[in-house]
Amino acid sequence: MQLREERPTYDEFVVARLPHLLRFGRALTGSEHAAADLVQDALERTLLRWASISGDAEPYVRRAMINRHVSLWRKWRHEQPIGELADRGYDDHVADPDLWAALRQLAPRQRAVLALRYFEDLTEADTAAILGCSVGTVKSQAHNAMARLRSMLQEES
Amino acid sequence: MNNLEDRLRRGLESPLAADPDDGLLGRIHTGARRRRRRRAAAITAATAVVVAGVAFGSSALKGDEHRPSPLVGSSTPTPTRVPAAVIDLAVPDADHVFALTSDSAVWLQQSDGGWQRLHDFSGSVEYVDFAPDARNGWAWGSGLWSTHDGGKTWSEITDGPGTASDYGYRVDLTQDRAWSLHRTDRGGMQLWSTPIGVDAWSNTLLPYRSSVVDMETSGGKVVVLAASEGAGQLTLLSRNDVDDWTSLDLPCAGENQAYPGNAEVFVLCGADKGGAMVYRSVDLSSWEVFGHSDLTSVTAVVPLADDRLLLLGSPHDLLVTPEGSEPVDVGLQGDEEVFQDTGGGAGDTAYLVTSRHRILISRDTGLTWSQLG
Repeated sequence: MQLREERPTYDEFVVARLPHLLRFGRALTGSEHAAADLVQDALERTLLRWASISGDAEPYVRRAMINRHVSLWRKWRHEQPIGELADRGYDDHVADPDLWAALRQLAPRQRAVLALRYFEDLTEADTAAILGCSVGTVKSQAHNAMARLRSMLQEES
Repeated sequence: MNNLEDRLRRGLESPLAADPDDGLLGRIHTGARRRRRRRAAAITAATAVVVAGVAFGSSALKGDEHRPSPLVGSSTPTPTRVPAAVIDLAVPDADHVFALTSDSAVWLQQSDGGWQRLHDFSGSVEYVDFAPDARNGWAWGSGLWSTHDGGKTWSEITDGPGTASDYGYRVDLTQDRAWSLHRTDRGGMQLWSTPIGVDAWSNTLLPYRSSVVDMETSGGKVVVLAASEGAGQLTLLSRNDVDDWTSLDLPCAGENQAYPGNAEVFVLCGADKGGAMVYRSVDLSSWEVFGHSDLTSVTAVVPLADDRLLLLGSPHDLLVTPEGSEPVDVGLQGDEEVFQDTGGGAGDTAYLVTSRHRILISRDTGLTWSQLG
């Protein structure tokens, strides 16, 4: 008989995945303070639906974070500008502050693509599925985002 | 993998500057309880309305599980200033300006310029819109609500589009119907509509539902933006209340986006490259060159009328018309941004809402702007 793997409780899930979710939120927002708000909002919603979420809850949380932070078209308009959210002095405490400063200059959608591709290591197809756009759009977003980063950081291609 | 990709991965993987807050888990539970309480309070309040309705022999609410939420504004003193933390405006006509504030309350500007708090929502509301009759309206965010009495009472929609997961809503109006686009839990999109004036939502078959990214209305038609697989090309799909869908590719590929106005759709080509060609479609079957932007960056695009497009950015703001482009200054301060598409207007008057919750008003078709209040 095959034993089913026991699902963690909600609190166990949060404790285990919180550092990763916060780093994912940081990748989305460019700010640890904004990431904490984003993660808390997504986890509150997840808790309310915990019983109805089957399997791994992390994709649900990730999608909630992305939906909250990034609009496919215009929902960003109700988000606070990153400039207001970014912790003052934050750059003093992170590795590669120039990189983070450049990341914060990108559009939210571009940061989301980079977060999913380079932090979560998702394929272009999976990134497109999460963002609800085409693979071509993911490619162009990633290309443009990297080009902007390269320009701001004056890196050679 | 190149150097920049390596550097990006290292940066994104780097440790947090601060350890996760020990109190976060507790705050999450508290926040979730607060959300539950808000919902329970709404149900309780709505039940009270039903009881009162039955007591007075009313049959309008009998058997209705989605009862109108209570009017709170009737006993609220009329403030004489602009409400704080405005996040959206709806301007159905020159006599009615509705404001939505970040505490999920809807306000109505009075004839003396003051504002009346009409209603507090039980959930988190991010957008509000009204039909031109100023009686029928919709609000959406963590749920979808409708009003049919000018914003005094609101009912939460709990079937049809009301079954959507959070954040998926996008509501817009054609002449006779309200349309709601939302993302399902499985990632696809659904399009619902109802005749204005009632809550009788029906589902509309949506082509390319897995690649649809947004919906607006323009010129009496529903306009859906879909991403063509592979090419990164966006396509406008449009239909009126009865016709089949027709498609129109955007005039350029890449990072370009479409901005529907009341009777037209604008597209900026090359806005991310410094300077942009502005295209317009008024029939949703072809594009025409509308104007040119010399902005090095564009932070917001606001259609003011079928012949006026406001671009915000640097080194200045720009009013684009078929007669030419004219630098303007809407008066944004520092890193202040405009909440795109949260404004509205009637006649020569136009409004914008900013990230500092200021309402900016122009009374001369967008040429000059000042702060309201």
